[in-house]
Amino acid sequence: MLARGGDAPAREHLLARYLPRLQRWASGRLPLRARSLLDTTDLVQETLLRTMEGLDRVEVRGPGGFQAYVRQAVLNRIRDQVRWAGRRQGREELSEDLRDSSPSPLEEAIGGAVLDRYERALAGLGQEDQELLHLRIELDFDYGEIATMTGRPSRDAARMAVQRALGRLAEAMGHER
Amino acid sequence: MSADRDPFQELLGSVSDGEAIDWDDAVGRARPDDRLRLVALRDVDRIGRFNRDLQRTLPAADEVTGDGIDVQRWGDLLLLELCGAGANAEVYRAWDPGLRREVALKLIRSGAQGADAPTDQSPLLNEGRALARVRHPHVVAVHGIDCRDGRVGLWMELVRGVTLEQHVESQGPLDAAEATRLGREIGSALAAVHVAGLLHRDIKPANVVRDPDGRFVLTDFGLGLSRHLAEAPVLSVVGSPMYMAPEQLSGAAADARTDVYALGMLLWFALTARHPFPEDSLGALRHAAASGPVPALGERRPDLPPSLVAAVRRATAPVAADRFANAGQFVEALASTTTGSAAGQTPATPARRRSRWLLSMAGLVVVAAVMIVAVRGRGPAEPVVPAAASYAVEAALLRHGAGAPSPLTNDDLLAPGDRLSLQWRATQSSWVYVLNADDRGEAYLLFPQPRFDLRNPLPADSTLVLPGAMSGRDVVWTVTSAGGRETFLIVVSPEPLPELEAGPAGFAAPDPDRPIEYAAVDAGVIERLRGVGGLAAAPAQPVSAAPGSGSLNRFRALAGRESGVTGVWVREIVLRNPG
Repeated sequence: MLARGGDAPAREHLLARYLPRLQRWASGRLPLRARSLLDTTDLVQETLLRTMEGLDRVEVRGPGGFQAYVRQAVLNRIRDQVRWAGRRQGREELSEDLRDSSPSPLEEAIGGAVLDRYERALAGLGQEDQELLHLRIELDFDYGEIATMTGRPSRDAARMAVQRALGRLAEAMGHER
Repeated sequence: MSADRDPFQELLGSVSDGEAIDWDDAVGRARPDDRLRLVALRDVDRIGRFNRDLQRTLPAADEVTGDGIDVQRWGDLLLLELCGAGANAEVYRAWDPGLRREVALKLIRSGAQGADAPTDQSPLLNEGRALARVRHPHVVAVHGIDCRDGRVGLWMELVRGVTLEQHVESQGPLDAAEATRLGREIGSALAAVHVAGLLHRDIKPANVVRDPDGRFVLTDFGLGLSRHLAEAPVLSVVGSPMYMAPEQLSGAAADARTDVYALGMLLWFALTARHPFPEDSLGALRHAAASGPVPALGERRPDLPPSLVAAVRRATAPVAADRFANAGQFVEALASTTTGSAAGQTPATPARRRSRWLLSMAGLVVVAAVMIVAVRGRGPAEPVVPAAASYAVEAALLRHGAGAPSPLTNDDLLAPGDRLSLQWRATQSSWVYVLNADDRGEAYLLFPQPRFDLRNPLPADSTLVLPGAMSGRDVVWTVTSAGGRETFLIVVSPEPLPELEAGPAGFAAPDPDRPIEYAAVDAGVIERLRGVGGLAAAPAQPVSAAPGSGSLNRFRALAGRESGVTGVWVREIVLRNPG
């Protein structure tokens, strides 16, 4: 992976390209209730830096593992933030999912049930598929960038890979209904 | 799409590429055994579009502040953070370089109802412009609405705080006094909205924000949901069903009483932390709301004043004709509620120093001018309370800070340096007197003063900011020291009050650069005011028990007389000014 092995310039390069998009994506996943002094920007940056620092201790299996790992780390951090906000407000401990009476902007836009199906189906895919969908569906990278980031030879190759991953995701979500 | 090609495979490419897809058509044509995965693909497409909107309209914070880095904008506004999103719009925290302040920006999604109409015909723009004409301390201030970069957006005051829903969930039900204040503040906000020809139609706890000063602000007018009153029929249920009136749930015509109902339900929730109808389906809710009154509030909160319980019950009557005719009437009913915890019953704090007042010139010229222009032409605002059958008064004591002036209500905190003014309007020419007393009971006449440009009687139907100008220069009252508690009495009379008019020689002329030189109102004057035959009036709001000693207590007694008085309107505001 590009950023492994303590390659500082590579890390900076990855951060510069990846971090802003990750921040925007996370802003759609963090319920308003859970926002506080630690805003979305800080949350994502802190999580990503911790992940980068710990890369050598993290087992990232195969291509695509890094972004999928970071994505999950950010979601975990958001979950912690939601719980913290709940406790601060005297609420009961929240369940393991992100369900909260204060929905995230994405949840409010598409509905909690759909989001649950999406998350479960995504988690059931391989790491490479997860990364492709994360980069394309969630972070809006173009196919050229995805090809570079995932080591594919061309834009078309990246596009085909995304489409296949998308098909597997929809199949999995359809089976859940 | 040909029958022998796999529509699912074709759509994969379109979803991946972010192309527009007619999902109704695609799902409608799908084979039954293919429908589930097509629906799933449609859901992924919706998620992708949401994320794409985020990525293409929202900058990361470092991009906004970084040199030479592409800054995401909507027109001139810099988008800072997504605060919320719904089916039809997204709300961002944004920076308005023109106003040099953060604002809330509501961007209507492309494809939302009315969002794509030509600019000069867009109902969204028209409604937004109508809303922008509403200026009220408890209505989120709309700065502007426009169509830029192909998207309709509405930018408005960024109100920091928590929603009423969050506040009640974290702090529990409101006490009677705060709930009454909530009802009065949001009720007066609704009255102003209705005068502008709009209905809110989505009053709910999530749309009321309680700011750090305790002010309740009505937000989120859900563009496209409001309608001119004359066009009230509703074709479909829009808004939050739990707070909807029966006629709104059934798709019948809505009017001001529909919003009154929702406000009543809001108070029911605020006082119990529950909703009166736990039904979980729209049909069951519709039946419950239409078939009878809401459960008795008094049974859940026996501590509440019966008058408050009765006001909420009337507001939530299933039949619109049985409710208050308008929000102003509801506010009046709440104003006559005795909550038992008014500011005046808090223990008096011994005064250490006498408060002093300074007339300040700084920076109020523009603010005052803007306020006068902005408020002119709008309808009733808080408090809208008729003092007599023939005229009505609205008056709000305002504190001027860095942003828009904020209204002061009972028990608010004052501090040295605070700059105050009084926004006033009446439907008939009136004599206005503003009196102030501190805990020591020493009273001052803040208005009128001989050197002020504004003279009694003040004209009818003009919104004015007192003390106004002095030799053409706008002035305000400035708190220059702490003084325990400050009591303000605003007295409005259809004719001069001789006891106050007769004593100008006893009042020192104010100097703009020196501490207070208002002379104390002679206690004898106050005492004699009690005997002004035929001048007293129904109080504008419940007059609290006397807050300690002070000569104003005698005058306050005048305000408390509800019978045998006709003509004088008195409002009392007690503020804390601890040292």
